[in-house]
Amino acid sequence: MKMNFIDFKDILKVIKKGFATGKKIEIYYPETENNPEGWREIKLYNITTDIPPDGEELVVEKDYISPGHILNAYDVFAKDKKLRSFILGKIKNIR
Amino acid sequence: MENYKKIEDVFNQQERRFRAITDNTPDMIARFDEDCRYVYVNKTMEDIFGMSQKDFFWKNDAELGIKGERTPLFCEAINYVFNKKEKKEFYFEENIKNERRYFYTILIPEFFQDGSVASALSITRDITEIKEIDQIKSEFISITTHQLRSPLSAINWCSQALLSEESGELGEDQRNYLENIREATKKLIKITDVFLQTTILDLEMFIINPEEVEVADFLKKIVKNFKEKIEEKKIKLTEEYNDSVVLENDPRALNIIFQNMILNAVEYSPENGLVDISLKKEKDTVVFEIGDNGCGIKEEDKNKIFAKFYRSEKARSIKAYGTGLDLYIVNELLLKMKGKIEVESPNPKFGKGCLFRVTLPIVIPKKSCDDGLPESPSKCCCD
Repeated sequence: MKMNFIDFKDILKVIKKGFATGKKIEIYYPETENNPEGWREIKLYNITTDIPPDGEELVVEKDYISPGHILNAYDVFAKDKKLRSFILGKIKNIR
Repeated sequence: MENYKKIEDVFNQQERRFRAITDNTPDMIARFDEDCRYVYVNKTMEDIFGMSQKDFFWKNDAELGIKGERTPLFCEAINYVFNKKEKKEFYFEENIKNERRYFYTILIPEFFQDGSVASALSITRDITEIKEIDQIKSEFISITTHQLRSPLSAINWCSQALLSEESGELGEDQRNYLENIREATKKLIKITDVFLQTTILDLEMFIINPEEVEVADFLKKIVKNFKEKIEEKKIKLTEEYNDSVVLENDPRALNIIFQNMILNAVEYSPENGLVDISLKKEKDTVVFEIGDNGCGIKEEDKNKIFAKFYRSEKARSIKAYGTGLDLYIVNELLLKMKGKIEVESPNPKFGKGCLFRVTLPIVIPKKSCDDGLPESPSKCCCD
C-alpha cells in the first residue's frame, strides 16, 4: 500500500491534541533497528530538542518545533517499558 | 616625661592615620574580643546600623539587637581566629533595608607581644553588585545556549533523516555533504551542552536526584560509548572493577563525570596509547581511577586545570580547540555531592601521562540534595 505523507503542520496538530487529551495515537514510522515500517500505537511523553537525557523539552505552539526535533513516547505493544524516540520529520502519517 | 609625651604623640598619630583609612572606606570594619563583643567599629558600620561607636562598644550582636544570618557565622569565625590564630574568610547574605545583599568577610587575628590573640579584626565588603552582574551574565549565557541548542538539534536530526534516504536516494556528493553537516553540528551541540551545563552549575540550579546505581555496570555502559574512538586510535584499554557497589547518586551527574573523564583520557592519549580504568570500594566511598600515558600535566598547571576555561599549553598542542570546561564541570558536580577529584602526573604506573582519582560517597549527605538538574526521562535510543 502506498503511504500518503501528511503535512508536518497536521502531524503537530494531532500530537498537540494527543497531549491535551492524554489519548494514545498511532504513527506511521519507517523501519528501525527493532521494528518494521508500519503503524505503531504510542502513548505520548514529550517533545525534546534531542534524544534524552540530552536536549530540552519543547511545547507545541509555544516553541519552534522542527522536523528535526524528537518525539518521545511509549510503544504500547512493546514488551519493555522503555521510552522510545522518534524523529518528527520521519513520521509519515498519524491518526 | 618628654619621652613619654613623644611616645604618646606617635601613638595618637598612628591612631589618627588608622581612623583616616578606616573611616573613609566603604567596607565595614570592626574589631572583636574573644566573646564576640565589639571593641571598635568604623564609620561605615555606624552608618549602616544607625548606631554610634559608643553604642557598639563592649556589646555583642544579641545585646545590640542585631539579628540575622551573620551573627552565628561571625561568632564561629571569631572562635576560629582566636583558637587557630589564623585568618578566616566567608560569604553571607543579609536583608538590609528590605533588600537582599551579599557580603564577603575576612577576619584577621591581631596579636599581643607574647603571640596570643588580642583581638579579631573584620573587614566586610558588600559584593551585591558584582554578584548581580555575574548572575546576569550567567542568565544571558543560559538563554543563548537554549536558543542555539534547539535549531542545532533540528539540523542534526534533519540531516540524519535525509541520510537514512527515507525521502529519496542520495548521490555520493550529497551523502558526503550531509555527513559533514552532521559531524559539524554534533561538535557545535557538544560545545553548547558544555556551556549549558556550566551555566546550570553557576546559577546553582543543579538538582541532585539520587537513585540506586550499580556503578560498575553503569561505568561499563559508558566505556562502551567510547569503543569506536578507542579502536580508531588503537588505544589499549584495561578495565578493572574490583567491587560491585550500589551508590545512591544522580545517574545524570555520574554520566557527565564519567563521560568527561574518559573523553579526556582518550582525547589526550597518543595513538597506540594506554588507558587504565579501575573502580573499587574504600570504606564508605567508591574510588574511580583513570590513567593514561599521554602528555601529562605540568606541576604549575595542576591547580588550574579545574578552573573555568583553562587549557594548558600541552593540551592546546594536542587539541587546538576545546572549551576548557570539562574538568571544571566534573569538579563542580563532585563538590555538590561531597566527592572529590585528584590528579597525579606523571602517572606512577606509566611514568608519564596522568592519573585522575575520583572519590564518590556511597550515599550523598542529605544537605547536598537541595537544588538540581531539570527532570528528564532516562536514557533511551532512537527506535
